[in-house]
Amino acid sequence: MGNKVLVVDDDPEILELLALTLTSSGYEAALARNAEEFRQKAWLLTPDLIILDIMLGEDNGPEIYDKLLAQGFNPDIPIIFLSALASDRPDVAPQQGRRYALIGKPFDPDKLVEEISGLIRAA
Amino acid sequence: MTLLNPENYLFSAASLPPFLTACLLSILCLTLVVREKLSQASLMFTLLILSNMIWLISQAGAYASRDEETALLWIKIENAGIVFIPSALYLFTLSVTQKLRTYRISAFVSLMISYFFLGDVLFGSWTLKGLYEYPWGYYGRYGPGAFAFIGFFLVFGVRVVRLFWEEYRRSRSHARKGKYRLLTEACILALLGSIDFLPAFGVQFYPFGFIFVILFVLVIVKLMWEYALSEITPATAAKEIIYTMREGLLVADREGTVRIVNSSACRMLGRTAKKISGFPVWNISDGIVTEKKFHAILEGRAAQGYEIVLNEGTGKEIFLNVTTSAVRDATDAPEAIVFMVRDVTEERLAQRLLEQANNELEIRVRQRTEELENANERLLKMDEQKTKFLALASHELRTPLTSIHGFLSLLLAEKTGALTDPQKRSLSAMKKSTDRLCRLVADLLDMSKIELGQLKMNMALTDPGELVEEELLVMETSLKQKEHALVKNIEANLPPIFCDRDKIKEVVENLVSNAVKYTPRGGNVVVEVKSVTGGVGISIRDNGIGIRNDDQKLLFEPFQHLRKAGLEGEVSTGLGLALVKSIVAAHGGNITLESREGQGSCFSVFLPGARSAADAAR
Repeated sequence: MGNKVLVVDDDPEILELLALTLTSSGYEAALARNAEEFRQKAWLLTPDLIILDIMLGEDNGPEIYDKLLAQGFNPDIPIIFLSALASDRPDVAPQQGRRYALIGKPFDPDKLVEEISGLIRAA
Repeated sequence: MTLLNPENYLFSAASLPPFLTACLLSILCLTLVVREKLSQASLMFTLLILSNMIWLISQAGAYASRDEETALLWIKIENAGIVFIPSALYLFTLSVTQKLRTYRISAFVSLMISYFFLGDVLFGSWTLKGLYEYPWGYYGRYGPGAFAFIGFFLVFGVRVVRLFWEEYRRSRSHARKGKYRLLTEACILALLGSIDFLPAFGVQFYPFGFIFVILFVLVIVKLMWEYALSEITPATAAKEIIYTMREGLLVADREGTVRIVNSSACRMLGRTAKKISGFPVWNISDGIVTEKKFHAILEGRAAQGYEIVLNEGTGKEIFLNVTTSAVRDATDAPEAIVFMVRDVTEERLAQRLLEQANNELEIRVRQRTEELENANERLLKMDEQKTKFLALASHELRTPLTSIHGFLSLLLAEKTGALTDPQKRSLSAMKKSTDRLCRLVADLLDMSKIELGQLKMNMALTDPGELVEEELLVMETSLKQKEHALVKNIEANLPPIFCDRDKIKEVVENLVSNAVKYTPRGGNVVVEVKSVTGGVGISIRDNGIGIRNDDQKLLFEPFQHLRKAGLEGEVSTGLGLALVKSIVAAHGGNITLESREGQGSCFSVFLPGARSAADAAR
């Protein structure tokens, strides 16, 4: 099996698209549809990379991620933030050395895969 | 020398009244001549008085005469004076009324008649025939000629009275009226002196004509006291001014009793002079002055100017401006107070109207300002709502677009299985449309963010030449597709700029892709980057279709769609140039356009150098 990627998005179509993109490129995709599932699966699965939607329904993706880190979640796991506001940058200040990327919606599946492999390789 | 011989005279009490009256006349005559400074009227008056004096003195002489001879001499002299009385009175009248020139012929005739009777009295016997001896003394005896003389006397006497009476009626001013009234009265009195003619016709009746002469003197004295006969003296001028001035004038003595009031004051206060003069000033009208205030003014403790409002019975308001001044004697003790009253009703009403108009105008301006402010607030709110809506809509559009775009990409990449050629072509067309939609949504989102001031800039020190080169590299394919020749003039050693690289790349991309779209196949696109004062200039010039002058002004406004499609049907969102302008402005720069229809366009962007940008930011 390939690397495990935890995908967090409240939109089921996007989740399916990402799952298809990842699996067709040889990754194992774990899906979370809300903040609660994200917290559970993050601890449970220890993924190799996380794809996190910034606007997660009522919740703010980066805030939840920050709380996880505060609870001792491994900060070395790379993360890709997805934003529907293309020019937005997440209001999180990743600590030095932390690997992250910001990808706007709509994204090119190929470019996303390139980004994922780059980040995992560097990890 | 009969007349000068004292032996020819006896003491006669009867001769005293005419003699004393003559003395009185002489004093009056002298005073008048001095007072009138030898005016024509005063000289004519002297002539009149002289003839009267001759009459009265001679009458006294005749009464006192011991014998007929002496008496007859006096009687002749007496009548020599009397014959001149009508013509002298006429001349005096014409002189006072300033009609001597007009009636010079009748004046001459009157004098001639007087001379005629003088001749007859002295040398003839038609008028004067002899003497009567009465208990009071000798008296002249008239013949038939005397009737003619009395006729002459009455004709001219009546004419004189009429002349003065006409002047009295014609006069408008108080002073002139007063003067002519007195003159008319004086002349009537003088004419009553003709009572002395009766004894000359044998009627035994003591001639008391001198009493009328005394009354005449008294009236003339009053006339002199109050008016001048002819010339304007300061006193008459003052009186004339007081009674003709528009301002009301009241003078109250120190007890507060009104002593002088003019017609204007009467009019303003709505009372006759009789109801004002002689009454305390605080009683004449409500509020012109209170007793307390009067005394305060008298003592110099109150303001000298104030305004009062009187209410007429009709409810009409009269605004009066009152100025007071105290008249003081040599010891500075107050003697009287002068009240000058000015009717300022029209001014106050006009002022009130003006104030009302001003207030109304102010209220209307305030209302209109409020309305405008509210409208402006509503517009701002609507504009903000529109922008928020655009942001929300484009965000909500992105999520489904991501799915469509992503799945199409996966399908086209055959990640979900192999595709037939028609399937591939269909999916490609779908993908192209989706790309366009994605672009529109992205532009909308950026536009709304700029308008909301939420566009985040990732500023970094950048080499502008390098940035443009990078972007042109990306655009090479589209330039080649349209067979355009790209000319790059990029200066070496350009000053760095402080900018958001992605945003400036977007600007270059927009401008170059416009040049590509609106230049016919095989055209020239020239991109220049050079150092200019204070920063860097980037220009993109083409030899395309150009832009009409009228359209140039609206070109940078969003959603104008002035050039709906490119020459080969490329679609435009209508937002590109608006975004470009906003991005350049957000960097402290500006964009200008030079274009001629059919010849091409040149867009020039100025971006401030790193130092100026930093200064501007600071």
